[in-house]
Amino acid sequence: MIAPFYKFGLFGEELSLIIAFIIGIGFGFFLERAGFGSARKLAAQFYFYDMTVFKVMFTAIVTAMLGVYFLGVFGLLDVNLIYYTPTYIVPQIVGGFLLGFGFILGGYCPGTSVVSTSVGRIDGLFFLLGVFLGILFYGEVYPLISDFVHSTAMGKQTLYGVLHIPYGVVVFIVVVIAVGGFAGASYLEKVFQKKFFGGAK
Amino acid sequence: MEEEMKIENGKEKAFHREYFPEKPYWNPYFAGIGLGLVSLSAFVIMGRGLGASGAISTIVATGVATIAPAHASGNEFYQNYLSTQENPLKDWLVFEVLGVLVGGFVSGLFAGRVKIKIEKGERISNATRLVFAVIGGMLMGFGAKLAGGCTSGQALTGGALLNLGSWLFMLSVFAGGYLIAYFFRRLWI
Amino acid sequence: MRCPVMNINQRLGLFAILLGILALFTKDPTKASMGRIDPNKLLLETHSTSRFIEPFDLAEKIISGTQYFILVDLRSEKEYEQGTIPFAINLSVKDLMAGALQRNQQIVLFSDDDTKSLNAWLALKSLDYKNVFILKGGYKGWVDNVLFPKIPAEVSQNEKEKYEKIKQVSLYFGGKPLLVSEGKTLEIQSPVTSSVNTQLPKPSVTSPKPAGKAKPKREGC
Repeated sequence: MIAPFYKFGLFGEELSLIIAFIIGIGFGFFLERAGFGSARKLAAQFYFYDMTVFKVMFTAIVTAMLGVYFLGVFGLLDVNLIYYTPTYIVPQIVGGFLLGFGFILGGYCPGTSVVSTSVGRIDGLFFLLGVFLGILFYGEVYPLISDFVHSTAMGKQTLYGVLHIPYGVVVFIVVVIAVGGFAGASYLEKVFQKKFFGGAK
Repeated sequence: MEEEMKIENGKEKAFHREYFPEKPYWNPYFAGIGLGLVSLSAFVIMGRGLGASGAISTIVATGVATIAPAHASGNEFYQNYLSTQENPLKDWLVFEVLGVLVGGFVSGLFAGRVKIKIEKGERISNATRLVFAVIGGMLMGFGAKLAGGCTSGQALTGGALLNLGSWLFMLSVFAGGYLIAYFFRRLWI
Repeated sequence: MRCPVMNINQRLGLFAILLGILALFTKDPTKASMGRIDPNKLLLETHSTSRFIEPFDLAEKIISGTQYFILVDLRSEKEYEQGTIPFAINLSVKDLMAGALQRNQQIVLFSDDDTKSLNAWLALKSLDYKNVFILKGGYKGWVDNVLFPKIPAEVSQNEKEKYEKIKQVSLYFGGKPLLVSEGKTLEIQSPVTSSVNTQLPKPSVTSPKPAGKAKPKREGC
């Protein structure tokens, strides 16, 4: 096994920052190509007439998931060395809902607001400003909510670990749900475009 | 098709439009595969995922530490983002987000999508849009920290790794969005 | 380039599903490193010296901060609290056997001496842990070679650079290089303290933390 390269000590921190920058360029590029620099395109997801967000996100998830899985199967990538964000069930669900609300009101998420700022969207810049304020507020109230933030801690948890089904089976299920979801999303788009725009769009 | 676009945009002042006529967005599946490969390369090269809110947290923590060092040193949250001697901005995610800024701009430039404007639904004013953008951003900043990551760090990264918390988070984001979407439809449609 | 039966999106979807089906019949990559141990191989490894890591090399690795390894202090909790190597975690052999660490992590073990570390090493190896190393000389080796290295008073020009490096590493971890001449300690060379200790100074628990790496690298958002 040779990957993850960084964790096998193949290069140092300085180079890792350059790699971060290059990976970021790729990240920003594809986000913009997908249309994620536009709040209306992003928000459309929640009105069913343009399901691009769902399609792009789940295609990305499926691609990376298959990549990690098969590189691991072929012994090229040590899956155990990848960092998994620890699970805190209740804070993550509450945080998720807040993100959902923020998305409807603001039209972006932190990453896409950076992209939209880079292509000159003033609303993206204001949203980004809001994210700064939100995090600052979080930092200020952190001592008060620290107990809640750390509640229902479960450490590193995976779907296959919790459900006690093999990793490969979960991969298969996710692929099938995603592909089925894409077909369903395209159908919904047709229906709701007609509803909102009379099929003119 | 491209000819039409050129004529349509000919009146715009932005000079690059002449050279880079506005193009349609990519096929979502192609863009998704691209994003997935970027995410995969982060796993393979670094053993970690992409992120966005983490970089902003680092910048906020650094800002607080610069203005009020004593206040920052007494707060566990800020301390998480401040290393003792090195410059805290020498952080992987900070550099990654700088890259996002460049990558987004390059993509937008070549597709003729770089323009200074406010994106909004047709029925609201610019001021309303900007106020809601700030409120939305604040909710998202707060929520992302509570959840230990945003759409990039949790949904995209944790989703691919089949991380339990990330999937619960992702479902909650969509649930939260669909829950209130109807009541705020004026903002977008 | 149009396919009469399926468009590009449908073909991509089909391809993904085929990969998904393939995933059903493959071995879990997270358990890829588990397997039976070949006793002969293990015996060979116990005779090799490559499982040892020199204290000074460890110090350099800690300073560079790029290599991910888990430093395990096998001594008692009390000894651990009195002073340990920066970033070391305190685990007993029992903890290790219970699966406290992952199989693919790089692990560096140390104790008072090498015997306990060797036992732990053998135990981990028999459980198919891949990268387990022993700090040569244990904690004492660290104190003698890294914190308080002996530097000859008379150093030839060729060796000057080498000893300067040793000195810097020692100061970095809050130790003091000892100047020796013909096996006798002359004085304690220290830029900070004015008092001259004739005895070997005890390693302090509050030794300054290495620059920049006070915490393990944060990897989440």
